[in-house]
Parts: sequence; C-alpha cells; structure tokens
Amino acid sequence: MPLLELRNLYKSFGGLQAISNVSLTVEEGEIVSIIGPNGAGKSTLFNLITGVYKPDRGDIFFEGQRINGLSPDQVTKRGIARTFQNLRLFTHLTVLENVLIPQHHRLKSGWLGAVLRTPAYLREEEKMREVALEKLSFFGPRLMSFRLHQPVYVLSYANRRRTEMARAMATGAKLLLLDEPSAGMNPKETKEITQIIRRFRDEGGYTIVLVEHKMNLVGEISDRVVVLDYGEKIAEGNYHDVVNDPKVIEAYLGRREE
Amino acid sequence: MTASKLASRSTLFSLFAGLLFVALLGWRIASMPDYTFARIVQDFLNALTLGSLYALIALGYTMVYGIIRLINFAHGEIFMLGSYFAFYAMTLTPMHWGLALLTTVLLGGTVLLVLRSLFNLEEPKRTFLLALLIFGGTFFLLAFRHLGWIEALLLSMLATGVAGVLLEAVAYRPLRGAPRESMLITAIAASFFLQNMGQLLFGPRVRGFNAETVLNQPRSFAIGEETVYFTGILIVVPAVTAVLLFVLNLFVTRTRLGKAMRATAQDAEVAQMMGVNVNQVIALTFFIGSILAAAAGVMYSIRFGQIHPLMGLMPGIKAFTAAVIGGIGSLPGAVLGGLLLGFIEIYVVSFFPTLSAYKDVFAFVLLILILLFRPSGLVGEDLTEKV
Amino acid sequence: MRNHLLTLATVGLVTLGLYLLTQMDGTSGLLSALRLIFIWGIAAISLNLINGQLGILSLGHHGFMLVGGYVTALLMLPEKERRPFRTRLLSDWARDNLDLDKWLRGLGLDFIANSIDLKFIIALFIAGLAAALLGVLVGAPSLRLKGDYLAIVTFGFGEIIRLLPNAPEVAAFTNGPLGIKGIPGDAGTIWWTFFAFLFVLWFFTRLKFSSYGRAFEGIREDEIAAEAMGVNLAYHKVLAFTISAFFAGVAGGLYASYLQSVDTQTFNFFVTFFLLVAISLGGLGSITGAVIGTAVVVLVRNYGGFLEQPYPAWVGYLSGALLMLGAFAFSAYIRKTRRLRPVIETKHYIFGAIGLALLLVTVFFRNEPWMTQTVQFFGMRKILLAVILILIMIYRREGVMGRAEFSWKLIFGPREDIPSEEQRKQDAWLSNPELNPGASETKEDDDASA
Repeated sequence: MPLLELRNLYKSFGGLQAISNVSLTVEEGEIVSIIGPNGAGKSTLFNLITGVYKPDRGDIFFEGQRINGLSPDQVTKRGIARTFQNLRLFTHLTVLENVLIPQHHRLKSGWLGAVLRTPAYLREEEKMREVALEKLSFFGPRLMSFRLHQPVYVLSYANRRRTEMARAMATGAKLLLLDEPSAGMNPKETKEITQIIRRFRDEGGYTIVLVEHKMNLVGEISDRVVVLDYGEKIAEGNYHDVVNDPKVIEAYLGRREE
Repeated sequence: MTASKLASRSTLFSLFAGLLFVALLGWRIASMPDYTFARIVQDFLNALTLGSLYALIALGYTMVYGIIRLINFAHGEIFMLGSYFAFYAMTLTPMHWGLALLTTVLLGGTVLLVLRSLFNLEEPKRTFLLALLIFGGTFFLLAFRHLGWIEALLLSMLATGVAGVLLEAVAYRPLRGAPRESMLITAIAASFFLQNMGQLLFGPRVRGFNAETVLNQPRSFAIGEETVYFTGILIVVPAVTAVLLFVLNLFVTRTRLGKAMRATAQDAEVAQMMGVNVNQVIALTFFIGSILAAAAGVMYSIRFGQIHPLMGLMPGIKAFTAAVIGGIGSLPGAVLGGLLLGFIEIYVVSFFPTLSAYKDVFAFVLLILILLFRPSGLVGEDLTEKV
Repeated sequence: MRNHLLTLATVGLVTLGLYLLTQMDGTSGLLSALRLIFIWGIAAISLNLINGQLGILSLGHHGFMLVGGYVTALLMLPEKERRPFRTRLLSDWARDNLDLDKWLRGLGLDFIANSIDLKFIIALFIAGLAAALLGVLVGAPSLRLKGDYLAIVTFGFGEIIRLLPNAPEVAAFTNGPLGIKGIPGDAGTIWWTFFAFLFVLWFFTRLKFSSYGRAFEGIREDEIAAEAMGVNLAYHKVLAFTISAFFAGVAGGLYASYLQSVDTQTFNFFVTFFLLVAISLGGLGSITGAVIGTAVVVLVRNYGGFLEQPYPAWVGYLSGALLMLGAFAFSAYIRKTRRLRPVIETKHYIFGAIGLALLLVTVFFRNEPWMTQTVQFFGMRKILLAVILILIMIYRREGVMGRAEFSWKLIFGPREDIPSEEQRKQDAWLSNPELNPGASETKEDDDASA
C-alpha cells in the first residue's frame, strides 16, 4: 500500500484549470520531487493534499484512507505536515514555542488540566519538550542553547528555514511536504539542506515530497521526479530520464518554431 | 466563480427577498381591514424618505471602506456635526459683523486650505478667485441675514466635508499601513471623541430644530375617497437625494479625480505607481462622504425636528447595516441597501406595531445575519483572504 | 522555587498592605478605586485573552458583563427587595423562582444559604456560566469570520444584548429600564474583588503559559500556519471566547454588587471601549499590561473629576490655547530631534497661530462676562480616554508592555535568551570553519549574523 496516493485530481479557480487529472503515488521512505515552470500548479497540489483547498474531483488517500475534504488540522493529525514557500513561522514566539505548538494536537489533557498543572499534563509537557529538542537537534547545536528562547524574528533567514522544518517534523507526521526548502539560500546552505533532507529520510524515517526549483538539489536527492505543466503531469521517473524528456524540455524552454 | 454566475446568484437572492417581502405584504394587508391604500402610500413616502437618508449616510461608509478598508465608526458623528452646523448657521445668523469676520477667517481659511489640497488648485489666479468667493460668500451669508434651510444645508455640507477631511488627516492618515484592527480601534476612539466633544461644545440636551414651516406644514391629497397626509420634507428628501446621487455618479464616472478614486479602490498600491496621489484621493473620499452625511443630517433633523449630540449613533449603525446589505464597497449597493432598510423598517413597524420596541435590535440582527451568511451583500464582491 | 517564594511574599505583602488600608481612616476613596481596578482588571484580562492572545478584535464584552451582572443581581436579590413595587416589571415567575436562596434551601444546603459570602461565590459562578453559555452561542457562528467583520458582528451581539433588557418581553426577567436595585454581595469590602482578581491572575497566567496558551498565540501569529500545524481553529477560538465570556460575567457580577444596582446603562458600549483603552494602553497580549492599563484608566476615571468641575470660561480658553501651543512646540521638538525638515510645517504654523490668537483673546477679554461665566466640561474624561487611545494607536501600538510579561527572571535572572560567555564562544566556534575543521561538512556561516 502506498503511503500517499492521488487519483485523478482536478481543481480550478474561476476559469483557470490549476490542476487537471493528476495522479501520483508515493511509497514509504521515498523522496519525490515535484518540479515544473512557475504557475504549473505545484503549490496548489500541496494545498490540495493538506486540505487548504478541496479538490473539484478526484481522491486523495493517505495510508489507504481518504483524506480529501478534511480540514488542514485534521490532515496534519493524520500524519502529513508541510512547510511554506515563504515561511509562515509564529514570528513573535520563541523557537521552542514554535516547535511546541505543532505537538499541541497530540495533547490529551484538557484545558482545565493544563491550567491546574496536573501530573499527567506536566508529564506530557515534559515529553513535548524532549521531542522539540530532538527535532531541533537535526540541525546541530545552533538552535539548541540560547536561541531556543529567542523570538523567531531575531533569527537569520537560514535558521528560520530550519526552525520551520523542525516545526513540521514536530507534528509527528510521517510525510513531510517541503515547499521550496532551499528558496533564498546560498549554494553552501543549499548543500547543507540537501544533506539534511536525506537525513530526514535515513535517520528520521520520514517520507518526503518536495517542490523545488534548484535542479542540482533535485537531481542529487530525488528517488523520483514528477513534472507538472499547466496543471497536468507531463512526466514522471528518475531524474535523468525526466530532464531528457522532450516534453519537459518543451515545457521549460518552449517549442521551436517549425 | 465567474462574474455572470455571481450576478445571477445575487439576482436570485434579491428576487427571493423581494418575493418574500411582497408575499408578507399581501398577507398582512389581507389580514388588516383598516390598512387602506392611503396608508400604503403614506408608508411608502415615509419609507422612501428614511431610505434616502440611510442611503446618503451609507454612501460615506461604503466609499471609505472601498478605498481604505476601514469601517469609519465616526461617520455617524460626522452626520451629527452636519446637523449642528446647520443648526448654528440658522440660529446664529445674522451675526455681529466682528464675530462674522472672525468665523469667516477661521472657517473660510480652513475650507480654502482643504479645498486647495483636494482639487490641485495650485494656480495663484484660481486660488485667489476661490478665496474671494469663499471668504466673501461666507461673510455675506453670516453677517446680513437670517439663513434659510437651503443656505444652511449648503454651508453645513461644506463645513462638514472639511471636518471629515480633518478627521482623516488627524486620526487615520498617521495609521496608513497599520493593521486594520488598529484603524478600527482608532475609528471607535474618534467616534467617542466626537460624541463627547459634541456634548461638551453643543451641550448634552436635546434641542428643537425648527426649519421653515413650509417643510413641516401638513399637507394632504386625496386618492379616491381617502386622504394621504404628508409634509414637504417627504418630497424634498428624495428629490435632494436624487440630485446628489446624480452629481456623485457624474463625478465618479466622468472626472479625472473620480477615475483616480475608482482606481484606488481597485488597488491602492498600483494606483499610486500609476501616478495617483493616494492621500489626496482618500481625503477626497472623506470629503464627499462627509458632504453626503451632512446633507442627510440636516434633512434628518428637519424631518424629526430635534437634534442632540448622540443622534448619530443609531442612524450611523443603520446606514452601516444598509451598506453591508448592499455589499460594502459598492456605491449602487449602498443606495439599494439604504432604500431597502428604510422600507423594511417602516413597513415592519407598520404591519407589526408590537415589534416597534425591537426596532433597533432588528437593525443589529439584520447586520449580523448578513455578515454571517452573505458577507458580500447583494451586489458586492467576495472579499476573502487568499492563502 | 525562589521565584515562587518571591510571588508568595509579594501577595502576602499586598494583602497586608490592603488590610492596613482598611484599618486606616480616610482611605475609603482609595479603597473603592482599588476595588474598581480589581473588577475592571478581571474584565480587561478576560478581554485580553481574545483581543491580545488570540488576536481577534471582539467588541461585545459589555454584553457578557451585562448578563453576569443581571444574573448575579437576580439570584442575590434579598426577599424584601423582591416586593412588587421595587420590581414592577419582573414577572411573578421570575420573582418567585430565580432566587438562589430558595434553590439552596430546596436542596437542603441551608448552611450555604445562611452565609451571604458562600452564596455570592455560587451566584458569581452561575453568572459566569450564563455568560459563558452566551459566549458559545455568540462565538460558534461568528468566529469563522475574520478581522473587522468579526469585530462588527461581536459589536452587534453586544448591542443586542444591551438593548434587550428594555424590551417588554424580556423585562419579565430584567425589570426593564428600572433595573434591579438593592443587590447585596461583596458587602463593601475589598476582599471579594481582591481575591477574585488574584484568582483570575493565577488562572490566566497558568493558561497563557500552557500548551493551550501557546496554541492561542499561534493562531494570533499566523492562522493558516497554526491550522497547518494541527491546531483546530474553531475549537480553540470558541474555547478562548467562552473562557473570556465566563470571566466577563464574573466581572459583571462583581461590578453589579459594587454598584448594588444594575440597569441597561450600567453596561453600555462605553464599557468595552474603556476596556479596549486599558488593554491597548498596557499592551495587547500582556496580562501585566492589562493590569497596568486598567489601573491607569480607572485612576483617570476616579481622580479625573477635577476636569469636569465648574470653572470660569477663561480656564477653558486658556487651557485650549496652551494645549495648542504645547502641541505646536512638541511637534517642533520631535521633528527637530528626528532631524526632519522643515522643523515647523506650514500647517503647524496655522495651529500655533490659532493657539496664540486664543491666548491673546483670553488675555484681552478676561473681564468680559462671557469669559467669567461658569462652565462645566462634561465628558472631559471620556474625551481624554479617546485621545489616549488614538495617540497609542498612532505612536505606540504595542502599548507599555508590548507582549512581554512581568517575571522575576526579568529582574533577577537567569535570562535564558541571552547567551552566556561560554555559549557565545561555542557559537562562534561553530560558525567559524577555520576554528572548526571537524565540522566542515555542515558549515554554518550564517550564524554569525543571527
């Protein structure tokens, strides 16, 4: 059984067909990249999977269960977490709080228990803290000491990206959707991100779907590459096959006038 | 959602509401034997008057919201100021010449400055002519004779328009680019400020607003065997409203500034890049909205015969409801909503006299229902946030 | 541990101080001001949960307070005040049955019914529950709206609740415009309001620094992100709204028993406005700020009476002139320190000129009858509050505290967000690959700029 399966998805906005007839399966432990020119519908696809938009037609299955129609928080509870293309952190909260909030949905104590600080709540809180530190430790010690208690707005851009990834992992998801994880990063940082993403899979056991523009990153880590153009899937396969596919080249470079 | 689909949906919606209204009307008339044709006509005149007044105030709300996405809570107080300006214009004239001179200098000076900045009157010769006109006109009006309601109305419109511009410049302009919640809070504070300032300057008590008896003299005409009673104001209000709406429409569609205004409502940032002076357009919007509110205020006071500093509260809320019903941001919507609300209010009270205690509650209920279930109003566009 | 002891010691000291105040003569004015601070503080802290922590502008708080006030009033109303000439519009049913005393004796809980204090606690609790129920009813449909639409809907609900008690059908429960008078309750002592206030402080601090509090603040920071991170928006918004409404009801009950009467004018929109000024002044989102802000506005309201005393008219003209000249000088000073040019703008000259003219008029005509007649500036305090709010919104939107809270750590340390010398060294070592050959795989040159 595939971890994530999209069957014949359609979505339109007004007259614009943003996604048409897209099917896709993602197996557990895979790294799948979605590429395509600007406006190809990559982010829309993410928004469909995470429940921000509802598909017009078609189904989304996660671990064999239909998840289309669920609200974003329910989708996250099922085990899909995402990052955003232009960072949506809780800017005025600290790094630690940013990584604690995604664990809130797993809290069993009610609000009264939380106010009364019952032993059960305190145990859960302690565990949440451990998980938060564990996820942050993926990125080395730099977010671990004093930065833990600094508000996000004082962090550097790269550190914010790292915080956002740690936040997505902290939801307890199995599947991570990364929307341009290397956007705005220099080559050195991009390289680091590449390794980190691989470690997510190898050490963390996550399955990863990412949207990315930087081809060297895509080529280096993807098990499989999916190409979208005008909302349609035009190619799928390993990196080398895909980039040499004439349809893909046409989508990126245009057709030569005959 | 395509435009045609949207249009058809709102048409259906209004059609449904209209049908419901007519059905209710028919049922109620059938069950009330003393509800004669003459009373329907009388109610119609009342409703048209009230609706016109709401429409005039609602235009101010909707224009400001369309341009800077601010619910101008203080608009009801602008309406109140309009009434008081006219009241003082009518009761304090003719003034002692010294006082008239002082008022002319202060008032005329402010008006001149504001008008200059609003309409790009940089040329010295034009400015001089305008100054002459304003100072001379104001002094002439104030010093020599007792003002009638038309002069008072015009003077009050001018003064209130300027007051609106000043309000925007002092309270709202410094908040350009601030979160919308902050602007709303400021608007509420401005509303409280003006209310209490009104109580302080004009006195908290209710005053009689005695305009010419011509407008309030009971008249009547006969329909068959029945007689319909009315007063002049019931004719004047819809007529003045129609004239103002006609002028407003010409201004918005035909002039350069009107086009700049519509462009700013579409997208302020882009309009600015295209060379529109956004601050000027916003000030102009407040000017026009306040002028209309002043007109409504004066006519409202003539209609109901009394004024007090808190008089702007309920008409303000109702006009805002009207703007929301019509679809906030849309000019025809505001007029439609105002008329609709006027008709609903008059006829509901007329048909169900027991409900008159809930008249004000009803306005709020309607406001909430519209916001909850059809926030775009009858003809407005959908304003949901994009992800 | 140390911090807990410090907190306990402070509470003890404040309690002792209050006790001494009650024993002294001539402090009744101060004590009633303190009671008002505590009551309005409870309301402000509860409004702050929605407007500050959840980041939603709610303008219907006076409605919830009104419900709390009326419920407390009805339940606590003693037998002799229930006589028909006092409660003419109340229906017989309401007069006979909505009586906490009767309920308690019916349940055989006479020992509670005999103690007015215990009864008051229960009445306040029921008042809170009634307000909370209303909070759910108002919140559940409206909280899916956003921004100013939501603000207007809550405002509309608040106003409906305020207008209803006067309507003939509802007057059977509220006694209509006459209101309810003769409510016993906190018996004029400060302790009720004080301990309720302490409880609220404790409750809301605990809530804020819990997982739920973090979720609320996540919603404030970014609703879409919070939802994507698994926070159920509808549940948490309604939860916060309900908790807030509960304590608004309690505050309303306390206020009704402070006044010993309640009518529809007790809780009008000005109440919400007043609270809005308080929490904006203190800093939206900060409990400490809400308390500070409340203290300031209550003091303005209680001790600002001199603003509304009768004065000869020239005082008004003179202060108007001085105010204008002062504003003129102040703006020039600000523009000068900020190096803005020109230091004085043309329109500011006009302002200054009018001020000067007013000053001259005052001086020259000081003996004219229209200068010496007595005038009274009614509403000056409200004007002052409105001006304060506008100034905060323009010049310091974060208020006094911003979102920060008072804490002992802030004063005595340790500050966890400031790196120690050792941590700083380690950070530099990590960031500098030359010093750190082993970590060349993951270079971290961005950290130096963090």
